[in-house]
Amino acid sequence: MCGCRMTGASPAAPVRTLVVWCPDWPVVAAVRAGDAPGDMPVAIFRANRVIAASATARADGVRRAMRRRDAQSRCPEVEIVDDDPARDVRLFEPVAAMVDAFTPRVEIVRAGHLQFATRGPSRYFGGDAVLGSTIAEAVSSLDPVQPLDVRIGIADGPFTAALAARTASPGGVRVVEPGDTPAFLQRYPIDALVAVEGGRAVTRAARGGTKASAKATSKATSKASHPSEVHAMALLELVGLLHRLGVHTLADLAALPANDVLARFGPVGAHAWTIATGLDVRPLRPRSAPPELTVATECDPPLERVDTAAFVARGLADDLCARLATYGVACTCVLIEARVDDGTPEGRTVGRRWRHDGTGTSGGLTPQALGERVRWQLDGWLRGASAVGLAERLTGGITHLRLVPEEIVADTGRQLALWGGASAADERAARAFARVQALLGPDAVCMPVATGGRRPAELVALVPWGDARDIPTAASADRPWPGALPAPRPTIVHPLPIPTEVCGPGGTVLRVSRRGVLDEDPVSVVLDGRVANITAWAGPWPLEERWWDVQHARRQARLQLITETGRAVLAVCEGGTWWLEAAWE
Amino acid sequence: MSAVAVSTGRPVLSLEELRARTAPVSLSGERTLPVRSDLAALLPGEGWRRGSVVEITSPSLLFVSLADALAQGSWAALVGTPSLGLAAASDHGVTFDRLAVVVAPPPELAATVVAALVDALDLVVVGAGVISRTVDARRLAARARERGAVLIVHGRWPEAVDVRLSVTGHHTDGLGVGHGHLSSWSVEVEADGRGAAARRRRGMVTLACVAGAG
Repeated sequence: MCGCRMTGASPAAPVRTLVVWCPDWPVVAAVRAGDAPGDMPVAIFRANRVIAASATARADGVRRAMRRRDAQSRCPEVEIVDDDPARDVRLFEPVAAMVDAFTPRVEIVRAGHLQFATRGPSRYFGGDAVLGSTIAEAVSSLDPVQPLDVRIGIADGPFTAALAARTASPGGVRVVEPGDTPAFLQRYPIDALVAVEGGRAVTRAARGGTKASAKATSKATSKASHPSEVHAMALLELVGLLHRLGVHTLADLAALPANDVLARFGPVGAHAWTIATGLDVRPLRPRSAPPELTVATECDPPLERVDTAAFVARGLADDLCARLATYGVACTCVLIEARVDDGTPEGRTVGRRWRHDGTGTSGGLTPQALGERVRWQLDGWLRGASAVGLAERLTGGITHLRLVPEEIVADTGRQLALWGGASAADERAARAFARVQALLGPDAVCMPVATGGRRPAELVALVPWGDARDIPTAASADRPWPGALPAPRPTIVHPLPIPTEVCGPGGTVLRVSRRGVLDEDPVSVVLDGRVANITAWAGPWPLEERWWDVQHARRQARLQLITETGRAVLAVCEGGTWWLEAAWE
Repeated sequence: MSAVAVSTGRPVLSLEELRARTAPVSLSGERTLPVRSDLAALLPGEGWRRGSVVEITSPSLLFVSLADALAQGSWAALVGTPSLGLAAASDHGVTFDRLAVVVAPPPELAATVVAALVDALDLVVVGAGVISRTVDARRLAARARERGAVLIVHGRWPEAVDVRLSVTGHHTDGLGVGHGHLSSWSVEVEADGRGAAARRRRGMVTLACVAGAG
């Protein structure tokens, strides 16, 4: 048992940690997966913002959180690749497996960044430096043709180790000797907090933050749903504020009295202060979880496809979080364990540990975050990573899946709103919609939004669930729409108009003149293939739209009809043909 | 009295006492979702009983039956109902804040999608032809019962339903011969089904009355 769990340790005694860090991992993964050319500048984008860039692109001035257009203006030949967290994890899996061969209890923080406590392993291998170089060598030898760029930092506490890894030379090891942490940290600017802690969430946060407006950031903070995102945004805001107050380096921050920092900047400030002074930022009293919190499921038939695995993963993650919630705890480190059918009766068991980043202030893993991590991990196992050599694909399907909460903390919880805001029902619904989106694609679940228009089909737009429900003001529902149908609006709007015939007394199909006049009174209409007599009618109501635009111009005459059975329909004449467009039923 | 009962060897509790002691605090049928009063008068529980399957063919009745529950915080989803005029839904009091639309789930995944929604939402509306297999229908009905959701079928359901609302007559006003426009509109509704709803009930439901808005 290494000291990783910190049971009984005080927060002032940081755990000696080794961090394996692969710089620009999303770029490396994209190149190795064949999604991007290796010899060109590459930038990974999400939501039109750079989240990672290759060294050549960075040399041209492409930076994180930059917009696509800005990135292209700095570096016109930059290859644009979409972000895919599952790909990142899939290609990182061999690295995790390799490090896992050296020591148990390896924790993946995110793709490209893993950590473990060094006490046991470094005694075994003969010192921190030897352990570090052994691992660096092993990881870069995964692919002999094109060695991976891996950097290793060893220091007291995960934050310092991560910072040390960032300052190590390519393929090198940087060891901060025990006790040297405060001296090591002093030199760094306060922005190191964001660079190391925030991970990918910072880029999202930067959308509000780069505008340098506190209002935009606080608005973004209130909108953020994911705890680590909230944490990253809060950190970003804090760093900006500290700069404005003249606190520029970690040493400056560490020199401030702890109580005053907490009083002025709240829990995020206290968290940053703890990091800056070189103390550990792990939760105060993490403890190992009782075995009854473990959730497991038998998979019959064995999981072989990623999409079915993803579905199981979500269900299991929801299950675990619900179980944790009944105990009032949250999980900060989870072991994902799968039993694989390899021909033997007992099968082979593989497992990976995931640590929640941004633990300091934001509680544990949410069901969404946990489900995501399980899905990525299963994706990594099932689809293998032949691109990084050591293509250890699983040979059979997964027959048994287990989630073990390794470290739990008291759940400080999120206060649900008394009125408005998120209630338990809202959260449940959001989870269900996310599940359907996982099954059918992000556009499958929509929310209706009232829009303006003259024709029945234009009155409501469907916006994918999760997108902003903003509609252009030109189509706003509260503008006057002369020519729109009078209320009540039709309850049935045919997605495709149905051809029909509206006939006069002689049984001839009615015509509407150029001046919008019927040649005879309507007497019968064809509904569902049968002729129905008309008892009441009104119209024709003319509608002429976009007459200045030849391609989109429309000219219609509409009749509201009621038949002898009491059905009310809207018949539309366009170009001499009659259509049923809507009905009141 | 109990001393007498023991001495004669008869059961200590009377049947009434026994029933009162073993009855759950609230019966599942007592948990209902609210619905507009004129429609509630036709329903056995004065509202939608959680866990029931309801068949409603008329779109406007469908909107009316969703409106009150949505206004009180329930969530609803429409699955495979592309022809519903949602603008009219908002006229009938359906709030778009808690309404989701799954436009056209592929047939092989439809049952899974509906099941996922039934797990989490109070009201799930399933369009015509979305669920065609009896096995799926039975499974979904059981799931709705277990989760306390109301499954509303807009179209035909392969299994028997708990309540069926059908429109037997329309009363429209405002539209003349060659003039006016539809302004007020009500329907005769007949409710039947099984269990408590087996007794046929009829009533009028006013759907639109826009005397001032025309």
